[in-house]
Amino acid sequence: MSKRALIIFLLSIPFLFILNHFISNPSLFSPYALQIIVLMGINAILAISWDLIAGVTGQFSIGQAGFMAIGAYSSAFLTLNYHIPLIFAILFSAFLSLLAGFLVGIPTLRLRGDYLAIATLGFGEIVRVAILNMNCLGGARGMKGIPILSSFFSVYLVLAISLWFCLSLLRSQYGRMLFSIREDEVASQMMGVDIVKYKVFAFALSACLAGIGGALYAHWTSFIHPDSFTFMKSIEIILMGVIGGMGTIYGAAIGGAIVTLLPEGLRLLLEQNPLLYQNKEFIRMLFFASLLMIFIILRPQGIFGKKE
Amino acid sequence: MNLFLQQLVNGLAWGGIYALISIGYTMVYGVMQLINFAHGDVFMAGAFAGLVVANLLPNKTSFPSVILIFLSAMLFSTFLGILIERFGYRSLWKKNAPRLSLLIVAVSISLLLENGGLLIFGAAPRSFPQIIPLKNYSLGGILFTNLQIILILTSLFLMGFLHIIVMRTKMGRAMRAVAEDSEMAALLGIPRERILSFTFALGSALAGIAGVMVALYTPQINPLMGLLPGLKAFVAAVLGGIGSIPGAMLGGFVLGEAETLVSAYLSSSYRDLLAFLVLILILLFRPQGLLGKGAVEKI
Amino acid sequence: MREELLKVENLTVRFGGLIALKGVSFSVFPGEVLGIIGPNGAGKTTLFNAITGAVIPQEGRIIFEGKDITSLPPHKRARLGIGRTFQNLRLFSRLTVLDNVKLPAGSPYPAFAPPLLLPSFRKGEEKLNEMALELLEKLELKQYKDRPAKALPYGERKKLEIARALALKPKLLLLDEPAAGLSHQEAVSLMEELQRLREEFNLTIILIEHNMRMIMGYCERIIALNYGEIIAEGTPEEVANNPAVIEAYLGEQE
Repeated sequence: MSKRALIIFLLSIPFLFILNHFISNPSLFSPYALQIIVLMGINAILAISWDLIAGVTGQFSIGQAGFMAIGAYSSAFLTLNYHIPLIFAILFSAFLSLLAGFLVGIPTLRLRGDYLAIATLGFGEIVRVAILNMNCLGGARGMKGIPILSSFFSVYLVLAISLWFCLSLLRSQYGRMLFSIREDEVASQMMGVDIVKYKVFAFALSACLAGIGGALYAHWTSFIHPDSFTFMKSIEIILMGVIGGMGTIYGAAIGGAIVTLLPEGLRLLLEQNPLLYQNKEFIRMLFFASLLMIFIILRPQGIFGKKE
Repeated sequence: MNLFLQQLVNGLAWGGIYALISIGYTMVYGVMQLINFAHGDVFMAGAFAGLVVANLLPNKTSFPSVILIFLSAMLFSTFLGILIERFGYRSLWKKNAPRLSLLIVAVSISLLLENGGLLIFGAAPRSFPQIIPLKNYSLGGILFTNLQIILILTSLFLMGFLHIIVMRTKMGRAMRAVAEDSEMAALLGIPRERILSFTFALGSALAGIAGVMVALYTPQINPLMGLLPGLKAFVAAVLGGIGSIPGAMLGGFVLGEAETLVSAYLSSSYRDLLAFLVLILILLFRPQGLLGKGAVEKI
Repeated sequence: MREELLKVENLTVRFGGLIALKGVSFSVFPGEVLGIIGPNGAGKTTLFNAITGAVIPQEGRIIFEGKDITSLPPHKRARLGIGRTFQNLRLFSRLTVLDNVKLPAGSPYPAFAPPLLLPSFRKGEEKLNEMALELLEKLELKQYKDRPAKALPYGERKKLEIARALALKPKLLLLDEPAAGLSHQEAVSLMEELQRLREEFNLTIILIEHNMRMIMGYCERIIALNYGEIIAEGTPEEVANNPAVIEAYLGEQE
């Protein structure tokens, strides 16, 4: 990464800190807009996590929601029951989801790519069903009263760090290796790349980021329920990555922001018609699925990706 | 012992259903190397098409009505399958798009079908009319119904019919050629696109019929009914060896039997988890499946 | 008796019912240029695939520098010093020319070095850059360094494949039809460059080619394959006059 990038990154920290004071003040800035903006940041982190394994390394994972859930629940459990500061909760959930990433990745990434999709799908479901059956985590009632420890600053700081970390990696020999896996696995191996090792590496990192996103999410919305971490959530995250531009990382972040805004726009439209509003969940998913298809078929490089 | 045999018989019906759906997955994977996530929803669409037609018919239990219901389900699914191939996958497949894109489209189509179904029919389960009045039989202490017989016989018949198509007809041979070596098949002048449509049509037809069969067997259907059987049928295809049609049939029956036995001897709540467990075991210990030969990539 | 660099023993490869290689045995000695000829489908590329690990033989052994590598995964064989190019070109299309050549050099710094901007990262990248530019210069590709690999004309892409393989610092280089699709001029200049590179990097080369003039001109020894078996082995003159070889090529274009 260039010196210029480093300066921008370092300067952004105090900038975000100062901005936070204004944005978080309800008399200066709409709390509703704040909600949206923070969610945009969280989704950006989740989108980056998916882009890392799918856009960069070319492995189709539909399990981000599962790792997000692990991060959300593990951190919330700690802060609710042991009142630890957010930073430690995040570190713990990052570690846990990293571990989960290794556990899921190591056996499945040895196999053909298509199997990963099914395996991650299954993993997401298993996590969700497991949480539903764990009363210490609230089970079917969900977990409420999670302290709202996330803020505009913490979320965007984590986003900035994630962007810095991932983009540095991409512009290094490791990025080249991951991209080469995406381009041609066989040739990559012939050029000395241990593709299984690096696929697992990317996958675990992706899981870790998704977990961090989950932790931030839990401490913003204050209430989490297994229904927030379904397969549909994983699809939403994929949509963010696809719209933004797979393989660019920063594109995914912007995609995250865009996809956060879409339901709001949709909601405003649907509120006009009570019949449609009743079915808003289905319409929302129909809209997302159509958007996903349109982008993949007509503009697979997303907004910021390079044309094939 | 009697209980065991009884469960074996019960498992055959589900086995046949899984096998029918599973064949579609394996055939599409064979020619396109794609897991058609939308296949389970084509199965669901067949069931609903059957429902719509059944509700329109005055004399539901008459033989022509039953045939009509099955036929319309089959035709609708076939049509849907061809549409999906033509507008979903074809353009990407032609430009040799990365596997990732095809999988994303597959998932999107699946979501479109499910949410479309939810929008049209609502989430509440619908009852499927009993077009085949139930009759119970007993043979040597083992109970079975006429429905089970019909389902099992229909599955076997359809599988036999498919076998003939794949092995004896020109289209079938062409399909096998494309599955074996797509580039060589193109060089030999085989119209790959037509084969794709044909493959999808065939698999979807079977899935549509399976849809009506399930609708009759568990007389409640809902727009999300394709998810679990779809996943299980996929596991069955992997179990048998993805890409192998006999493998899909074998896998379907093995899974159907295993599920029934687990449900009877352990607990019915573990029934659905079995498929996931089988998948994990297969991927860990024998990823090429029971009948699969390891896939070889031509460099 | 010279020490063999590569020894292939009784190699048999089957794909389903098809026998691609049958009982193939031969040795390659350091510094030599060995040519592999044979009609289409004779098993030449399969031989390369077996040596590099893309395909696991049902029978036989592959011994490189005295070590049995038959069950070694492909990336480890590459690290041991076996490089290859592909008949159908398998470049990393969307990566730049420079990145394609940097990649095979492995990881000179740990994964946490880039985000932390550690000196090992800066130094590592500098070395990679130097090495890659040098190779590109040698193959006259330097002007394309920042272009995506797929943007290059065909002949340049063939050279890029070679540059990329060289970045592995291989001891043994397997070239699969490097002159295919090139004009006579281009083929000659390519072979001259290969000759220079061979001397400079102390390479041992195994070459698959259909271009007879090239094979005869640059190979010291030739092995002829047909239907997966070796039908002749010897100097270019010996093999060219071998009746079995002539028969195998009856009807084949040069």
